[in-house]
Amino acid sequence: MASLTSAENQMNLDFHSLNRRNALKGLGLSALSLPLVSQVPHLQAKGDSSSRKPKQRVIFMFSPNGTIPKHFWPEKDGEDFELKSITRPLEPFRDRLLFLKRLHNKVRGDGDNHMRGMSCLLTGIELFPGNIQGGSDTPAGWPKGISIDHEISNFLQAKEETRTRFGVLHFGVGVLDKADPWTRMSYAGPNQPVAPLGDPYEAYRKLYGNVMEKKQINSILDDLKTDLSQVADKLSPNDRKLLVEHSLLVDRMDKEFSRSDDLKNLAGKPPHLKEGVENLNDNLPTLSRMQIDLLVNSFVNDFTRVATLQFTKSVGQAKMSWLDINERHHTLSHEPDKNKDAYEKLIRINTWFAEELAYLLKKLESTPEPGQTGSMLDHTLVVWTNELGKGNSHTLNDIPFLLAGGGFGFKMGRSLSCQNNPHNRLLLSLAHAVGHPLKTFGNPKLSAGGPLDLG
Amino acid sequence: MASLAVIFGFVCWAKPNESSLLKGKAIFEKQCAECHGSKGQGVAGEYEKPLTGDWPLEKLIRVVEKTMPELEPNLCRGEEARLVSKYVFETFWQKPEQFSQSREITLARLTNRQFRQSVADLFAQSPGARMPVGVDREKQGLRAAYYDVKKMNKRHQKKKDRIDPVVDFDFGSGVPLEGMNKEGFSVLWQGSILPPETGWYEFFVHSYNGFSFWINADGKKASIDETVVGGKEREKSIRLFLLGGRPYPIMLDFFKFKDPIAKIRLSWKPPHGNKEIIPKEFLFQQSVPPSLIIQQKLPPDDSSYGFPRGTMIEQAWDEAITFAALEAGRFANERIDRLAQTNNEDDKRREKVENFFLEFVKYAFREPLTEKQKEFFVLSRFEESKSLSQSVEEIVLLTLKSPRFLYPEWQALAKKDKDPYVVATRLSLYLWDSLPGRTFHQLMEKGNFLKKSQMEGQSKRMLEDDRAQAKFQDFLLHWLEIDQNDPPQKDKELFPKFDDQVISDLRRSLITYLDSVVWENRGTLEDLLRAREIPLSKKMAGYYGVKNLRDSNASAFPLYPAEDLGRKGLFTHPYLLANYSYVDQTSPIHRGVFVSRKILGRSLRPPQEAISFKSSDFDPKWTMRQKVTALTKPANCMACHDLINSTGFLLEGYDATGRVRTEDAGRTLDTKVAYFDREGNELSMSGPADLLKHSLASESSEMFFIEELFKYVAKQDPSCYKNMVNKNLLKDMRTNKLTDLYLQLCLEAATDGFAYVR
Repeated sequence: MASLTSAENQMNLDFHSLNRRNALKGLGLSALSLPLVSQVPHLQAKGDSSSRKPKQRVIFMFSPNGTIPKHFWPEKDGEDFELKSITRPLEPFRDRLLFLKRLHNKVRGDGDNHMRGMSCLLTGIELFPGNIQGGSDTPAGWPKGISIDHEISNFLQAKEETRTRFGVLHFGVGVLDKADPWTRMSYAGPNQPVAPLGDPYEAYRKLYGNVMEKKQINSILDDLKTDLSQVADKLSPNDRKLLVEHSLLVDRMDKEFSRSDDLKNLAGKPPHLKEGVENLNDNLPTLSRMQIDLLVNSFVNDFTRVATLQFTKSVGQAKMSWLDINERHHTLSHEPDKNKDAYEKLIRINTWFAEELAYLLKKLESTPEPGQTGSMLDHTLVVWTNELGKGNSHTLNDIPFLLAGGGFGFKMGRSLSCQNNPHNRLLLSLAHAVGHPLKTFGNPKLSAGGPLDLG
Repeated sequence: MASLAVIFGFVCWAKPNESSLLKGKAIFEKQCAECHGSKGQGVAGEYEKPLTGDWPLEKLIRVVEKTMPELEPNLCRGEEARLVSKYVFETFWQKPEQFSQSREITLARLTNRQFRQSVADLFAQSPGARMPVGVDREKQGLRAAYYDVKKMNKRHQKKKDRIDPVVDFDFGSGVPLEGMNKEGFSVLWQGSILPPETGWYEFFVHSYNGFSFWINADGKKASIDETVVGGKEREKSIRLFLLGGRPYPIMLDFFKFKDPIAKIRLSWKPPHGNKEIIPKEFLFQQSVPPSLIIQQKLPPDDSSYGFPRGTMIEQAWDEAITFAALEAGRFANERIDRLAQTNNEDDKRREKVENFFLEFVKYAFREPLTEKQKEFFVLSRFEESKSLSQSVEEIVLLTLKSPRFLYPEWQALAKKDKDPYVVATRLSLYLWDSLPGRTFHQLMEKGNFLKKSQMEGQSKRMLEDDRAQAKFQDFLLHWLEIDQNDPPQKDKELFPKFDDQVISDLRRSLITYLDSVVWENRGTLEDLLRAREIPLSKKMAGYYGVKNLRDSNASAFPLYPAEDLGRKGLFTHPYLLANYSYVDQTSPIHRGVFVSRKILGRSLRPPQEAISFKSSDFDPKWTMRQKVTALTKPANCMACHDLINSTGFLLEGYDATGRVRTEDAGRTLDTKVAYFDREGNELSMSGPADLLKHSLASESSEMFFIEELFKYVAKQDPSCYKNMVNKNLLKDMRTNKLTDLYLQLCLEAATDGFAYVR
């Protein structure tokens, strides 16, 4: 046990020396590092073992409409793999990448492939029967279970040493104002979609808020609880359900806000956001960077250890005018491979997503891990994924799963064939990696064989 | 092996004297029940939905024969297919009520629209606030006052008052009116604006000179203040969320002083529209007070039931509502003296503020307050240690976050007896998406809202309010499925003249049409579907080849006979045809799904496997009809596509932008189809006129519309209401004027006592 810890420390030290060089390149260092001094372990009181235990964080990054497999997947398996044009922006992180080939979303049942691709991606379970084509009597198809980001978050929140203010945060870039199974990948439970924060200003307010506002809200929460229970008491148990859910949210807000005193002692100052950037198509590149900055900052302040970063939605129709592409993404993705123009544009679109991932990784790498040695990337795993394998075939096979970073103890720097297994097994691996040894996740049949061996 | 046993087992078991239904039942149990359940109720993980539908028996037999059991359709053919289909058909196919789960009204929170409307109206109840009344629609345009200016923007002498229909002036180096001071002049435009739809609006002021612009704002602080900058051509904008069907104050103060030229232009970009000079039909001379329209973004309502409803309680919503309540608190704080009709030198200021809030909370909770509640929600909030503004914001926050405000029907579910407050609450929700106001409460306090006749009279008054009109319009856009989508853009190379202006005119034409048929002409559903006349702008006339459009000053969209434009029925309005098309070609599938569901009220299932249409997969010499026919040929596709394709092909006489055409891929169009109605009769049709005729004769078409309306209005299924089920009320309503239909549905549902089916 002890030897393990020292080995970990040794590893962290190595990473630390490696990353200090990179970190020094970053201009933002001085701003970030000053408040951190007090948290460097050796300056802290001895015996505080919990803070020495490395943190584990995970980010699920989503981009839509499938990839161009020939330009995404390395041809060779193993450590001697080559990066194709789409993933070339990730070259600096080559040793920290793990391509998971031949991993399929095998969830079937109601819904088209975009819907299942999206809503079953992190849940691994079927959708409730429904008719999201609209105008139907029957409830539409939200998934029947929780998504892995929330599962992991619930697990971490249950323990004092891993509990954070939010538990999980969802950032969106170019997400639309519509709630349906094409637009949500995170679920707090069956039938409980969770909306991503599409607006960085909204996200900023959620993270840092206005201390005055929070105080104000805090002052009425107890009375609100009284009020809620008085109304609930007058209703039948069946009608009361919604109010019970509501009360849970009030409790949650209470907890969050009562911790907001910590805001005074932030480890990392809130990032400076460019003002007045509207949630419009042409602003996506700027919005993306703003959201990534906020995301990394929320890690610095340990507001959460689980996050999602969702670009548009399944069937997303971004028009990437900044790449001189004037057709919409999903429309392009339907074009046959022989349409060279569309094919080339789709490569560029997917390369752009890879560049955004590279920015995120770089940001994490240049951020020292608070209270620990090494960089934040050492303690973070990014899972880049997509609702489809390929746009024009709408296949749910070969979902582009690319893992990046450290954090979960997986063996990185290689391309691995997952032997046509269902992706539920990857979701299980993620749970196991945080010490949550689930037997199955999502559809039990698709969990057969347990977690993938990624170590 | 197994499959042989199944058939063999059946053959041995069957006795010649058994009734055919029993035989069918046996086949069902052997071959179908595994996936469909022993009673056709569905099986989790297999086929989960009950086996019901509107196919006639013959079609059911055909589909079973060709596609069932799934993966092994050979197992059930010929006589067996006939027997099992007959059993399914007789026992449950046409009896969906057998499978309906407990039909109970559900507690729901306010939808976003209801929340914003209720908050806006809540702050408009105090006598000090003045309720925005309906504007006089005859008086279009803005009031303009032209002045000579002395020194900067100091108004010196008024030269003229007049009405300007729009603000779009380039005075060059000259003056607006003869005899005015060239050196400096100013114009003040004032009035109100009535936005056509609910959503985000962007307002733009373009000028070379100084200006201030107010939109839904008080006099003190301008929405855009550009008085300082001058002598520079620039455009400034502001974006805000507005509720349709309510007038907002608008004011533009413009001045020129020593600048070489003068120009000013006021435009907007409405939701789903393009940037344009604000047209005169949305500007009115009347002054109105500002409304509190919550700007906080709210996460979208759950619309998975086919209509938005407040059954999803999520963290993002709770937070957004909290921030919205804080926004309302700041609004109240800024104008508490006006709301409470007091001032900071008034000895009775605190008492007046308390009284204001006692009323405010009563309206918010939609019922009189008990003494305990008065103390808890209002009086106890005023403490010595708190400033007045702290108390004000705390009361607003607690009130708007209270379940008594957020769950408007909770009383209805908690109370057992009839109660005028419950009826008033529901009427306000159903007709306005809002809450009962001051006059309504006064009526109830005086006991004048107890009899049916009193309730009828009050609902008739409510129907004539702009808010009722706005809600009905939102419903129609929702029914036509154009409430969310952006306007249809087309391939610029193929349709170079189908530009942004044509597109926004098309949308406006459709909305103007809906408005005129429902409210001006008080038409019936039949009138609505017939669409005898279509509002046509000049730009549309040019695109659709109309030469004799009469020039009208009264409206930019004079009515034009639909027949002369080659139109037959609402579904041939070019906006709808273009909306249900691809960017470069028609889409009979999209058109067919839309018409089958929304116009004919037929039920369709979602496809088992989504297959997308790729034109390039087919011979380019083929017509669209040939391509779609080939794509949907497999038997499991044809189960629904016989209906979809037949209705879609009927509209092939219109291209992707809704223009009349006679050819496709160089061939003469063939729009002849065989259409099977619900009863299984084969009807031969050959174009939109036949489709219109059939939809007007079809009861399912009318019933579907009425049920959709009901669900949109009440956010509940009609079967939750005893009256609606027992009296077969819906059926009796179908020949009414649409406004009466709307009124009756709301009234019946609101006064449905507490006789929910529970």
